[in-house]
Amino acid sequence: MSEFLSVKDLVVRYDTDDAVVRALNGVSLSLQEGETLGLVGETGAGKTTLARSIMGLIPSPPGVIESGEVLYGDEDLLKVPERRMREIRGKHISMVFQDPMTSLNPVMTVGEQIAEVLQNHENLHGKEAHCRACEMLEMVGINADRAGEYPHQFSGGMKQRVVIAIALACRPKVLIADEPTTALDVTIQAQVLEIIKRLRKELNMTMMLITHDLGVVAQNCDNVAIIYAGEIVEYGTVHEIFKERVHPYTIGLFDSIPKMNEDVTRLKPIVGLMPDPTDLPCGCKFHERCQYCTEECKERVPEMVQLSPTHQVRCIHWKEVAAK
Amino acid sequence: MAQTQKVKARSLGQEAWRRFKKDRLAIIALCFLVLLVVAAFATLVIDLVTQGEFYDQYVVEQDLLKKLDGPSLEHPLGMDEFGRDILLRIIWGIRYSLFMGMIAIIGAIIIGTVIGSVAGFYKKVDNVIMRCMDVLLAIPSILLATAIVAALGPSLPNVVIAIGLANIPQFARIVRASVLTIKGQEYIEAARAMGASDLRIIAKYIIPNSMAPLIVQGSVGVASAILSIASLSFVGLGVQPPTPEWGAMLSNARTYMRDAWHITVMPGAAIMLSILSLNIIGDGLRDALDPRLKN
Amino acid sequence: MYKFVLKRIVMLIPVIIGVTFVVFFILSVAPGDPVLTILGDGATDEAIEQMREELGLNDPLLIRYVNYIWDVLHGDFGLSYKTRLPVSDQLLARFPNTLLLASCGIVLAIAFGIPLGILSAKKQYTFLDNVATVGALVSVSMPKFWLGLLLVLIFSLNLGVFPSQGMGEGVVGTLHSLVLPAVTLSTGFMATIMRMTRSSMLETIRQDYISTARAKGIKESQVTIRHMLKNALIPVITLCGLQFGHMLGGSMITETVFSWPGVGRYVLDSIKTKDTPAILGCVILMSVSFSIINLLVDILYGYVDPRIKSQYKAGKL
Repeated sequence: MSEFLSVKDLVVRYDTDDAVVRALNGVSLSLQEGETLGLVGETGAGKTTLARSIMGLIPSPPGVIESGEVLYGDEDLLKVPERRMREIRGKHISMVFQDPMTSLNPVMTVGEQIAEVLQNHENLHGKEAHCRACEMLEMVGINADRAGEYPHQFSGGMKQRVVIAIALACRPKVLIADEPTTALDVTIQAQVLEIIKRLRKELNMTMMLITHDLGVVAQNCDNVAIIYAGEIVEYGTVHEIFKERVHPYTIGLFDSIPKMNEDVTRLKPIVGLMPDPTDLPCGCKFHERCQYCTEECKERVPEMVQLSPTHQVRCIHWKEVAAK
Repeated sequence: MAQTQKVKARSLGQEAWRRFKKDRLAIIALCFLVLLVVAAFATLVIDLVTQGEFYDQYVVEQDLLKKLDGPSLEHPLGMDEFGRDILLRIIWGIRYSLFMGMIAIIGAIIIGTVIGSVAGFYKKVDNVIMRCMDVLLAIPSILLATAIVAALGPSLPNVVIAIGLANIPQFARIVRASVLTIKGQEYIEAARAMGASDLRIIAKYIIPNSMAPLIVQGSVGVASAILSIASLSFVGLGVQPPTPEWGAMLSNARTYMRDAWHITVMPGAAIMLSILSLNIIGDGLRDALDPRLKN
Repeated sequence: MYKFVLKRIVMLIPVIIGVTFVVFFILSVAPGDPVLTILGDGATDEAIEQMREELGLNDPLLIRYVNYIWDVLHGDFGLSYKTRLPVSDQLLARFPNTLLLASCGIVLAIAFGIPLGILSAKKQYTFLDNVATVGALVSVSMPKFWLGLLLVLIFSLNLGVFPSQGMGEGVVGTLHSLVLPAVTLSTGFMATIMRMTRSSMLETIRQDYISTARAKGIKESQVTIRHMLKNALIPVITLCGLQFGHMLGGSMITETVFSWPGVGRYVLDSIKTKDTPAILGCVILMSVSFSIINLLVDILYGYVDPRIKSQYKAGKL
């Protein structure tokens, strides 16, 4: 397995009228071929910004990529010309967006929308592209007869299947799924995840699954990155994160979900709110909410500590935390 | 902590004003408009104090020796076709153009609000009222105003009535739409459960909640009303000479356009600047009252 | 779909009846006796009474209205009080001129308004956008009669490029004389269309499906044309239809400035001479055209927006 797609020290900010929003503050992660990486974090932690940066879809203005690299093979996607980037989008790297309700063009039939990406990347014309689009629909479990219908005639789960069909039409090597199930009903969530899982195996794709649902991570991912206020705070295999987590934030996340095997009367939420990205605290970004916080945490930004070849954590007091 | 509470305590109006203040162009426009209003009141006071003497002597009195004189230090905007100072006439004309436009729209808003809330609130009459409004909306407003003036005869009050009437349907529609949305909200149910009467609900809940679109539409409405008054006066259906209404001034100036450019340019510029500032204020208000619409 | 069109046409009938009645009512309650207008002050009582009977003025309002509409349906708009000639002849001669002016106006407004709006939205916050936005604001605020006079001042009196009055002979002459009135009529509407296109585009650019389209790796021009425009222009179509109606109905100012021989000028001339049948004919003709255009836009809307189309099919509208 080789390093396939990696992000190095990515810093992204948004300049708005009122303030500068620091969305990503030096994020590094890497995906091996065939691996599924789960990216977990609260709303506003920078998950979507990271996904969009990889796709080269940061809206600018207001978005500014300050520094960093996104390496795909030996190309830096932040530096390749737009023409090359267009070849990569949809063909090499695809993305499934969060809200299927708004991700489809309301005035084009779903068939046309799937066929469009095929026409673009595989030089297919009219009928051929249409046939392939129908195949794709069947593949995600939608009857091919419905290719001529418009998005408003589909339910939410069906729309998300169409979005997946668009993303996978050209058999991309990497799929970035940005909270693909958040906007769906629980029963539909399972179906959609099942489809993604199945197709990932069939097409042997590398995947980055963005979510805030740890259950989804456990079922689907090989590795997990926990992101907080634009920084990766803990990074490891699923086993390491689920069994040997050492960052206070990760621990907090796990404590705030109910467990089957323990009898607790109350869940333990993480106290406080995520810091305002226009006004991030000095030092460790989590210190205001952390029970292990010391003066050092308020002043010094902790660096990533390598615990094992696969496990990293960004905490000064990780030993104390682990000892508990 | 104390500070955050203070921020939250700001009312919707204060919040909107805070946002509006940031829009520099809108503030300039507002200042210009305030200046016009002050000038208009000043002329009213002057007329009262001098019992119309000043008006007769400088605004209406003709001085054919100076006719069509170009802009000079003494008369910055020049003289018109009868040798009257154009600047003074424009200033005296503010009350006709600006005030009459405002009166027409305020009247239209009041009547439109009553009609709209009745229609939105009482299902029985809703259909009848709104079909009537649809019919009125199906006639281009300037055409409707023209027809009304044609029936009532050309004069300033009739023009104001005509433009007011022609503007009622759009305000009625806005109010009805907000009534229909607001009526379904829980807090209206709650008010009802506490025994509030229909009239109280309309006055206390419905009207304040439909203020934002009314204010925005109102400021744009005043602009178009001014335009309509000036247009009707221009074609001879509105204010009659020698009253210094801007549209009427332009209408007279047409004949002398060949000889003196300034008599067509100046009154028109006055109309344009006031409408421009009202439109800018309208845009600013819309952004301030509904920041989601701002792109 | 034809069912929907039929339904819309049926729904139009009460609106037209309402519009014509309102106009008829307004102009019938006008103070001043039309008979005196025709016969002059020196007429005998007998002559007046005879005239009243002839014009049907002694019937109740509703009967007069029904009679009038009945005649209008047969192409008879009555006789002008002033000239005692059929109003329909005048309308027939003048309506094409107004239609020509309004059509040129809307074509100009669309041809410049929509591309400028798109450009302005695509280049938001650039110099070009600022210039276009401010220009649009100024154009919207510009009184038509003033703009017309300024154009005459510059292009007719000073440069002598275009005629300032009337309608020229032949195709070239007509077009030549059409330039200034059409520009005058269209400027405000152009700005409105531009502003609407811009805000609609900006609204569309933010939509998620634009990200989806970009993520497909298609060219930006394709994204703009296929995904943004198709969605952004739907509300603009309605606006253009409405604007066309307003141009037809509101062309009287422009027609007055340029002495354009259209319906708008006819109505103003008739108002000055208190020629009620003529006023009635003009206003009814224009209001009905306005309603018909709105109907056409409504139908067009159904064809462009699949969401509305399927609602039609389901019979929900």
